[in-house]
Amino acid sequence: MIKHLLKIIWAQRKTNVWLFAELLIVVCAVWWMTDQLYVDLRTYYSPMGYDISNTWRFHLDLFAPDADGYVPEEAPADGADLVKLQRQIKQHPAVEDVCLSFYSAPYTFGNSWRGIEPVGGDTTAKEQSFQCRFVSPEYFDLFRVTDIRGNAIAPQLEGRHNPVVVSENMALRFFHTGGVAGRQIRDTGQEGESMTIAAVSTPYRDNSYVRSEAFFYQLITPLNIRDFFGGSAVRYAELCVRMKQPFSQEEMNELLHEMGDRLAVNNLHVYSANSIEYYRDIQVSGTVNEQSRKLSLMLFLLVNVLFGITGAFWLRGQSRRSETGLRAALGADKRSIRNGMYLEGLLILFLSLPLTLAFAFNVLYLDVLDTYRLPYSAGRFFITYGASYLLMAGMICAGVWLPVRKAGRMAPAEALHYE
Amino acid sequence: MLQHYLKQALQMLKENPLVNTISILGTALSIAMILTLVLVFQINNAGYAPESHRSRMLYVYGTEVSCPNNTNRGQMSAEVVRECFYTLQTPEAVSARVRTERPVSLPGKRLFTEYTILYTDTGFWRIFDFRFIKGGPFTGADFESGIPRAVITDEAARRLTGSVDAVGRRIVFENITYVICGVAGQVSKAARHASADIWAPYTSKAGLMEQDASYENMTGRFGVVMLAANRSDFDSIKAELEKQTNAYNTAKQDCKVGFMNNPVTQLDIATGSGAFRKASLKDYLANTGSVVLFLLLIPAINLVGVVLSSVKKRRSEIGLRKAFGATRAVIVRQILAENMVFTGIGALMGLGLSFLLLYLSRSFMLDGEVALTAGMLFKPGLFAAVLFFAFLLNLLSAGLPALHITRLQIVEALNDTNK
Repeated sequence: MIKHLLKIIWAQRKTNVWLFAELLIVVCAVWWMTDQLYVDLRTYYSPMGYDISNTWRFHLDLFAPDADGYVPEEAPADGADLVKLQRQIKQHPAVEDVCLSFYSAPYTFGNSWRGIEPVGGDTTAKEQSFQCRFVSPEYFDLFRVTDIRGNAIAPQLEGRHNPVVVSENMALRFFHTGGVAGRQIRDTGQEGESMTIAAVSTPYRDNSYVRSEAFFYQLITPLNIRDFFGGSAVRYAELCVRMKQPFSQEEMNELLHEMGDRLAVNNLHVYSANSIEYYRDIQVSGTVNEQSRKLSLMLFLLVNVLFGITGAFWLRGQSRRSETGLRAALGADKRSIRNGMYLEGLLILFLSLPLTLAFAFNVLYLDVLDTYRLPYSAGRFFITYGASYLLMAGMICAGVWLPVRKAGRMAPAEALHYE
Repeated sequence: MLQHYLKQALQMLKENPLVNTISILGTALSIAMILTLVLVFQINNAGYAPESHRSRMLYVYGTEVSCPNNTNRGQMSAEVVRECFYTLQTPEAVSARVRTERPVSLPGKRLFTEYTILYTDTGFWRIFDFRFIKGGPFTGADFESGIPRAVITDEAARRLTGSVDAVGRRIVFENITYVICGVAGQVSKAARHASADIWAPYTSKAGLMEQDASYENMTGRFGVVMLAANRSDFDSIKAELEKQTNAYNTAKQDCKVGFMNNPVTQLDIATGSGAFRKASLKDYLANTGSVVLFLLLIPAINLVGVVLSSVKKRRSEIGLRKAFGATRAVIVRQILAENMVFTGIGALMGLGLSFLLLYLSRSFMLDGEVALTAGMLFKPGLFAAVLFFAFLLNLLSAGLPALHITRLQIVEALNDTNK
C-alpha cells in the first residue's frame, strides 16, 4: 500500500513539490513557535514563590504647602508618620495585614543591586553582586513567602541584629549550601555593619514569564526606617495591603472613601489604590502581546496548510476521477479509497521528516533556542516536535476531508464515465 | 481586452468553484494580515487629529544629567525647559509636559478613580489640533499666573459632573481645585503625545517646579514636543538646541544636561525608538520584512499549485494562440491579468478583513485598548499598500506557472502530450 502510494506521489511530483515545500517551511516555523510557547507555558506554571491574591498597593503623597489640607509641620517626621499610617490602616476590619517596602513590592520595576562579601573566616564564599529587596517584617506573611522548609519567616527575624533573608538560589551560589541561617554578610568595600542571615526563602520570580534569580531581602526596621523614608522620600514608600476578601477596583474606591481620616497622618496621605494584579498585568503585557502575535501567525500558517491541502487534493481528485471509478468498479470499497487519500496526504508530510530533523538539529547545534528559562531535554524536543507534527497531521486530515467526501460519493458508473 | 480577461476568469471560477474560492480566501487572508501590519504602522506613524502634524514634530523624552559622581537618566526640570527649549527660535511651537495618573474629586466629595492628567503649557494647543465641544483651552495669562484651569474630555466630564456642559464647574486633583475652561472631544490613546483625560497648566502645581540641587536643578519630570515649520528645519532645530544646551551647561558648575538620541521624530518612534534607546531603521525593516515575506510566501506557494493546474488544462488553447503568432510576453501578460482578477477580488476582501483583524487584535498589536477612528485608518498609503501587495502576490503565484506554460513547444502544447 505504502509503496503504491509512494509511486503515486512520485508520479505527481510536479504538483507535490509545491505542497512539500510549503509543509517543510510550515513545519519548521510551527516547531520553532511551539518551542517558544512551550517554554512560556512551563515557566508560567512553575511556582512564583509568593501569592498576590487580594493584595493592593496604596499610593502615598504629601500635601504641598499650596494644597487644601496642608498641615504646617516643623520638620517632616522620619518615618513615624508612615508607621502610624500603617497601623491605622491595619486596624480596619476588612484589612488582614499591611507591610512597607522600598521599590521591592511584587511587580514593581525595582532593581537595586549590591555587592556582598562574607564576614569572618568564611572562605567558601567570594564577593558577588545580588539584587536586594527592602521590606518590612510583615511582608513575608502578607505575600505568603516562606522559608525553604515551608515555615513562616517573621518569627525567625526576632532577636537577630540587622537581619537579612537570602533566597535559596543566592545561598547556593554564594555559600554553595542551603543551610546558611546564622551566617553573616556585609556590603563589599566598606567596613560596614554586618548583616545576619535569619532565614533562607524559596525562589522568587519577578513575573510569570521569567526564571527565578538569586537575591536577598534586607529588613526595614525601626532602626533604619529613616534611611529609606526620611523627609519627603516617604511618598516613595510602597504600602502593600492584604484584604481579608476579594475587592473589585470600584469596591476598593468605595472602601477608601469609607476609610476617610484613617488614610492620612499629618501631610502624609493615601490618594489611591491599585491591586498588585493590576501591576502584574502591566508588567507581563509585553510578553502576552508577543504570544498573541505568535499564535496569530501560527494560526495563519495552519489555515494556509488547510487551504493548500484541500485545493491540491480536490484538483487531484478531479484529474483522477477515472482511476477512482475504475477501482470502485473493480470492487475496492469506499473505505480503502478514502484511507488511501488520507494516507497519501500524511505520507507527503512524513517525507518532510528527514529535512525538518536536519533543520531542528542545526537549530539545536547553534543553540538559538531559549535554554536559559528551560534547559533543553529530549522530552522538550519530543513534545514540541511531536505537537507540531500532530497539528500538521490534523490540518492535513481536515484538508483531505472535503475531497474525500466528494470522491466517496461518486457512483462507479459515473466515475467511469470520465474514462 | 479587460472585458475578455474578466469573462475568462469568471468562466474559470464557474468551472472550479471550490478551488478558486479557496485561492481567493487564501489571498484575502494573506493581504489582510499584511494590511493589519500596515495599519499598525500607519496608526503609529501617520498624522491624524489631534496629532495631525506628526511629520513635522520632534520629541525629547529622555534626558541625561551627568555630574562628577552621579548620572541621572530620566526627564528634565522646568528650568531646562525654560532655558534650553523656550528660547528656541526655529521651531514654530514648543511645548513641555508632565503626564501623571491621579484620582480626580469634586469639591467636598473625595473620589478615588484615577484619570490621566497632562500638565502642560500654551504651546501644546498650538501643536495639537483639539476639537472643543464647549469652551476652549486655558490662556497664556492663565499659564503665566499659574491659575488652576483645566480642559477635560467629554467622557471624563460626563463621568465627573454628569454632563458635557461642564465649563465653569470645579474639580479637584492633587489637592488643588481647578475650574473647567474647556471640554474637548475624546482623544484616542493612539495619539500618545496628546492624549489624556485632563489638561492643566503646569504652573498651577508648584511641586512640578521643585528643584533638585544635587543635580544643579536639571532633573525633573518634563518631556518636550516641538513643531517645525517644515521637515527640512529638523537639522537646524537640532543644531540650535545643541547651541542653547551648551550655553546653559557653561553657566552651570559641574553638571551637564544632554538628551542622548533625542530629539526623535515620529518615524523613529514608530520603528521602535524610545526615550533612551535608538532603534535602527534597518533592524525594523529586516524584522517586519521577514514577517511580511512569510505572509506572502506561504499563500503564494498554495496559489502556484492551483494556477499551475488550471493553466495546464488550457495547454491546447495556449498552443493554438502561439501557433497563430502570440508572443510569450502576450501570453504571460494574459495569464497574469486573468489571475489578477482573482487576486483583486481577494485583495478587496482582504482590505475589509484587515479592519476586522485590526479591531480584534488591537489589544496586542497596538498599545492597549485604543479607540480606532476613520481618520487614522483611511489614508492613501493603505490603498497603495493594497495595490502593491496584490500585484506582488499575483506575480509570485502566477508568474512561474505563466513562464512554465509559455516554454512549451507549440506542437507539444497542441498535442497536449507533455506530461
